[in-house]
Amino acid sequence: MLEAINPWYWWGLAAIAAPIIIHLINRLRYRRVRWAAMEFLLKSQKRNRRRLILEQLLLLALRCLIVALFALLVVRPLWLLGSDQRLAAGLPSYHVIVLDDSLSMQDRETPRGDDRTTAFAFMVRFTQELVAHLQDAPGSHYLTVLRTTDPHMPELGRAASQLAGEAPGQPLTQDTLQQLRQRLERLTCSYRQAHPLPALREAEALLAAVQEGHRRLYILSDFRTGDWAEAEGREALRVLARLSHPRGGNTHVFLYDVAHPRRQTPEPGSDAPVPDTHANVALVDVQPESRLLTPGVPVRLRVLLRNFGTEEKTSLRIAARVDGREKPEVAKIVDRLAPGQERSVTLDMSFGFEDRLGSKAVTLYVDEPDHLPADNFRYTVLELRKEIPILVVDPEPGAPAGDAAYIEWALASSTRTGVRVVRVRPQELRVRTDLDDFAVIFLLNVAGVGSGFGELDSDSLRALEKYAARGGSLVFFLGPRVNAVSYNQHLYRQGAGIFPFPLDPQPVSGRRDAYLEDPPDPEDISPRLRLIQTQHPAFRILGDRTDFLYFLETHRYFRPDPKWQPDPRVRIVARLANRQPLVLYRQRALELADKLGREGSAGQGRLAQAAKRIRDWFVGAEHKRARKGPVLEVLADLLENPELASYWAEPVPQRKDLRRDIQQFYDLLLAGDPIIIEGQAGSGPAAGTVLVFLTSAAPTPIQGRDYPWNNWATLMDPNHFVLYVPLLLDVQQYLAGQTRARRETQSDWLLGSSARLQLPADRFGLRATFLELSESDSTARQLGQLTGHSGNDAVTFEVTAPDRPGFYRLDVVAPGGSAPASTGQIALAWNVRAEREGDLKRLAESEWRDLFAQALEQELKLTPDQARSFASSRVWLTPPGTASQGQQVREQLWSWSDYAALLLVFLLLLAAEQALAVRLSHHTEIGTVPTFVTSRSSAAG
Amino acid sequence: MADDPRRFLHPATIARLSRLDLRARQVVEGFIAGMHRSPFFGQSVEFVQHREYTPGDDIRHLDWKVWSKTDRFYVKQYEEETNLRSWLLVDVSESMHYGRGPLDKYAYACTIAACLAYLLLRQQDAVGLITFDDAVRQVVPARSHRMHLDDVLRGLDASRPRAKTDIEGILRQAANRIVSRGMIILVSDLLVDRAPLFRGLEMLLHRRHDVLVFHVLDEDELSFPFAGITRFEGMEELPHLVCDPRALRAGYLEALEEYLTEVRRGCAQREIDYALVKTSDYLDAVLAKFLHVRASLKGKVRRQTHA
Repeated sequence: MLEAINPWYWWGLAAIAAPIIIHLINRLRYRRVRWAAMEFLLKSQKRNRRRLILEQLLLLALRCLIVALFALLVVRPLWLLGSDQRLAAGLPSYHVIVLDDSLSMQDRETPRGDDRTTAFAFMVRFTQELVAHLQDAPGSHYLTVLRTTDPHMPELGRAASQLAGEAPGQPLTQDTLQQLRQRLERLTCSYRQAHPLPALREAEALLAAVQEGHRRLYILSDFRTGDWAEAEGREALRVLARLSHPRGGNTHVFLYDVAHPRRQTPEPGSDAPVPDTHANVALVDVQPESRLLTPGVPVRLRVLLRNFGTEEKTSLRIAARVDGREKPEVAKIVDRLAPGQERSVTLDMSFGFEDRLGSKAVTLYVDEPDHLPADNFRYTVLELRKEIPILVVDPEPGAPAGDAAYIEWALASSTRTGVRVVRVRPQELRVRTDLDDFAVIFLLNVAGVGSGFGELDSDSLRALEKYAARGGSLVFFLGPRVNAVSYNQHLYRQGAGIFPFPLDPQPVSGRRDAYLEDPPDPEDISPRLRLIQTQHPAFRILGDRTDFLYFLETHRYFRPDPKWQPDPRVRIVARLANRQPLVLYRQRALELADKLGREGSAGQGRLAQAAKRIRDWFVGAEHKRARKGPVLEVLADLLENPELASYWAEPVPQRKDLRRDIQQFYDLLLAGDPIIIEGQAGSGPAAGTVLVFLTSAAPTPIQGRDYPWNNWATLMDPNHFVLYVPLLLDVQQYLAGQTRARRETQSDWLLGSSARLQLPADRFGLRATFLELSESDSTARQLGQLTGHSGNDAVTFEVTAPDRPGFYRLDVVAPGGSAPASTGQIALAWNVRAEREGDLKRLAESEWRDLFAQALEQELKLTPDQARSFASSRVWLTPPGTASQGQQVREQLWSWSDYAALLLVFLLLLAAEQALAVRLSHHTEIGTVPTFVTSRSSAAG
Repeated sequence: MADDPRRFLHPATIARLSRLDLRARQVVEGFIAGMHRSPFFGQSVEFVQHREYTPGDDIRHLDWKVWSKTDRFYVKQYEEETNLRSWLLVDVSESMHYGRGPLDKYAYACTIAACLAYLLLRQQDAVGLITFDDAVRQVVPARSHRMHLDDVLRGLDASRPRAKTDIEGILRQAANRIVSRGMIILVSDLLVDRAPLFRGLEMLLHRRHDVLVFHVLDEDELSFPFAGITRFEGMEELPHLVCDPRALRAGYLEALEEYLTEVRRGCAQREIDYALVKTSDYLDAVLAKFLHVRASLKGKVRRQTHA
């Protein structure tokens, strides 16, 4: 009976006496009036006596009741609670605290602040306060503390998977507090990206294990928009919705935003101001175009810089360090970076001959004080080699103006290119055991597979296939010796071979030749080649020097089999111009011209003009061979001229159709045969890259003609700049990088994901040591021993991601022994996930409410109104107060809402008391007082 | 307000004058000065005889014509004609001592009595006074000379007031004492039983007196404006009552109204002139009422006065 939530307030019931005492005091403290007209007063009192006594008693009773009810509301005796609460009041509370220790929590209060000013440090202090205040609340408490980066390893309590049916959490005692304090003091913020979802799922599982008791979930985080607005965030919100709603987990959820600047205290349901976001600039990504480089040859690093803040940043200096030493010549200044802008900056880095060979630890960074310094750094590993060996396979390797000669001239005419070219005949491949040492193998005008001249024998083919399967890169140049049928049969082998696509064995009906011939047409003034992969690093020069495209003549070339269905691993890098005779397109051109003419007569003069020019050009099309330049110009103008933009933008169906026709015709006229194709050598996981040029490497002369196969190698501009040399150097660098990337697997990793390294079993053993490298002095600290798995001619190591970004090394032993392998030191770099964690934008109160309400609607099938009212009344983002959080917890613990009915009764009683009191106080107007009344005897008149 | 001739008639003004005769003078003179036409005419005195002058006589009354003829000092003697005998019956019982305004009921009643005495004496009417509480306290016989005012005023003094118990007996005593017919002016709060009151009044009427009742009540008694728990201590041996006056106000006013109606109706039925006056009322209302009654009695009463 006397059991209550606040039993020490029972004495409050004594206050019932107060109205009686007040009444008695009033009776004692009267005024005295000596009164003559007692007669009327006594008469009045006699008449009203019963009614008055009744009314006064009623009022007194009402007042006593109000006092008693108030006392009960404070005391909350158990018998007054509903059966649920009666049960719950005596039950323990289970608290799960989720601490966000993702990278963004390293956000500092000031750009030059230290680690004590981070959101994480604040969160740790706040957690200690929070837990200390939990002790104040009545009842027994059980505590589990999770981190978002590793939710299955709680800092306090056990993981859900280890509960085995027991209730979660560790009882909250002084010892527990002490233990937690020690752990929190040791805790540091991770550099990892971590979404709250796994931690919330863990919390859900933990709280689901609570059979009877109060469930409380505290999420201490910085509540960045990126974490909650995307698919994963929505899932997390659904978990929260399930947890928090009485229909679901019935858990009190507290969300504390610990980021700086602190949130304004919101009025529940009102729109709190959007919290400020700290400025932050991050290096989101660094991609070296090749990781394998030689002294003197520059490597291009593509750096992705992003401004996550809301203010423009100016004069940002991006600098580089290699092995801990600044490389000032690499630094670049970015003038301005608008808010939200992402900008790609390229840095050229080269090494001298005096530089130490081997792996290079390259650190790129934004030289700017920042709220979140961790994402200003990016680590990558490059490998510097003395030279890069290239193997050139040519049936006539020694021919002075042969294919091999041109290739060697392009790649190794100067020692500064760092390329060493080795020329061999196709049959020699089977005897070479050092194929894996070559970064790239060029196959020039190889006839096919067989025993004839210029053909690969089957052993050579196998050696080549093995080389490619291990990630080696191949380049094919075709030529007069190429036997398309043999290529298709042995090299393509239905996609299993090293040649990525089948050739058309008879492209021109009635002729045996597998190649197509396109004689020169000096009157044609259109580009001869179109680069499809405009960003391809190996063909940058074609994109930069578009003037060359008008003069790149390709007179003989091969064609992929038209019946071949392109493979997703194969991409066409460049196409020739459409060499089909112009006359083939006349019918279609005239139809289009008619349409244009009709539209043109309706007012758009430019269309009519275009129609006329098209018609004019097709006059005498029989004699114009394949010249489509003027038509292409007209069509391109129609499609891209800004003056026509508004014309096309109008929503008229005919115009859309017309524009589609123009586009289709334009694409048709452009659709020439592929000339450069990139693919993969076979389907193995590490299969090397294959680049096929469907024409010859050298300007091979053609008998009986005055033009060669092509003029690529001889083309130069008036400044004697030869296109062929940079083109092939880029191709070589790209493919050498591909070979290294395929063979030695990835070297840059993101924190949070473990690295899986697959190494060739013939060179690496099964044991390895994982070390952390110090950037400045190259000293290494051992982190652990690893054992690899063997299989499929490879050794696989799973390297667990380290805690911090930076440089690491895996030292692998030689096969079958404990001696280190010759190339056994594999450098690795781990970076932060800046594109996600660098975005410090914070959720506005209203966004949170909208998102949470949506989740409630979806998850619990609430109506929008119910969802909104629940979202704004129960679960909202709270700024952590300095001392009041324990109070808040207590208040929530004793929520008034459980007493809604009682409160209503209380208010009704108050209203009744007021009404009765007003009635009984006789606040009537003093009026109708009899004034001077006279009467006059009528007889006297 | 400064030019208002009635300003001297306000109870607050009158309360500042401590002496009753001054009060009476101020009220009456102020009242008459405010009238456009004097209501008094035909009130001349008739010459009776000459009498030889003796020292001490007022030399204003020397008949100089006689002296010029006879060289003797004679004084003219007039017989001041008393054409009305008025009796003031003033209640000085305990209940009359209630009042929260400038004048309590007793003071107000005394002022009324003084004013009326002054007015009557001024016109050479005879004024007598009977004050009473539980019994007749003072009796001042009716005289008409001016110095009589002092006697009347002295008679109004009432120390140690007592409760009036038997109004009928008091009125009977008055009726017995007042032999000659005249006008009887009763100034009282009439907080007595009505039946004996009316029986007493009837006794007076039976003696063929003209009866005028000034019913003096305090403003508080009429409006009962009290609030808060109050202990009402009954005057004149009535019981005490502790109550919330607001709760009882409606019933009180109702009972009061019944009482006033009963008194008013009783007076009207007996052709008694009745006036309810509040202690906050201007005094001219009282005087006007009196003059009104007096004027209507003029012929009747003069005829009845002896020559």
